[in-house]
Amino acid sequence: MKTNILMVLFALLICQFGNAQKYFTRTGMTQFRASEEAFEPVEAINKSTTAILNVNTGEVAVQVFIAAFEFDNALMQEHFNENYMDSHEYPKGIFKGELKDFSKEKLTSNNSFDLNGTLTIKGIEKEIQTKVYVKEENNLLLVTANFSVKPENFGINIPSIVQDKIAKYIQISIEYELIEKK
Amino acid sequence: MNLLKKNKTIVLLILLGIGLWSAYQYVFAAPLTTDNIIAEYQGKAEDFKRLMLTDFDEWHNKVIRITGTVTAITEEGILLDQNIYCQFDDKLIKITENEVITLKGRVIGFDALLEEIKLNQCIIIQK
Repeated sequence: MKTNILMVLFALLICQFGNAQKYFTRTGMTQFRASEEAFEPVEAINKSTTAILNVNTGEVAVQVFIAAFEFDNALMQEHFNENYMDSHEYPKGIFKGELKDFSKEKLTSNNSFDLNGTLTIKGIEKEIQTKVYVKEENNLLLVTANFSVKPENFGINIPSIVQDKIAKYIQISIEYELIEKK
Repeated sequence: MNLLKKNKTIVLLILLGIGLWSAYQYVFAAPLTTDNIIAEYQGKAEDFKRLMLTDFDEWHNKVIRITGTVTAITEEGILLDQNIYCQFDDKLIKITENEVITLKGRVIGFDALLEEIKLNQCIIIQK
């Protein structure tokens, strides 16, 4: 009987080790800024981003719902969804990649990691490289990064009439508070 | 005659004013909130899950009103019937696990990473 219990405990222990340790959020903040110096800024914020980080391997997966980008202006939001992003046809933006040489133990001495991966928007894949900052605080991993993308790389056409108002590079910033996934 | 002419100008000015004002309202309006949008589905969360699984696209960006059991509580939202995640704009009012509630929210899609249906801008209708 005793050996049985021990075996069960042992099996559970192995399962624990086998299980990848993951941190995640459902409410990550993804923001973009696309305006030149303009009368009205073209920018929006998405507070419903899902992000998962496997802390053993550094693998990262992020999913952003395009329709969850919120603008201050309803008309701008409508144009963003219908004319530029076709959010009905392509409802998600997806990023899959890896934080190079990531380990939780390193976080006390080093906060900056190289992120390589593929960003898929409107069904078009593009390689992205950027620096990501990771900080551990009260059992949370705070992840921040800034990078820029060109809209034409993802098949987003800016009509010439608004070309002066929209920047050539769209600045994207992310801010995710990841908690351990149990 | 003169009086009529004068009145005409005033009427025209007023009409122009109203026109400009409504154009301004249209161009610079803030997006509607869940509050002001009529729910396109009303019913049990359980039934909505089944509907959503047959056709994701149909419910994209629609506002729904569902009743279900709270199965988990997180910082900014709750899980309804295991796999409908509802995000609130405000910090949560008192909700306890296993409570049955009715809420209104906007469907933003099916989260393939966590295998959940995701709603945002949720407001509680009844508890």
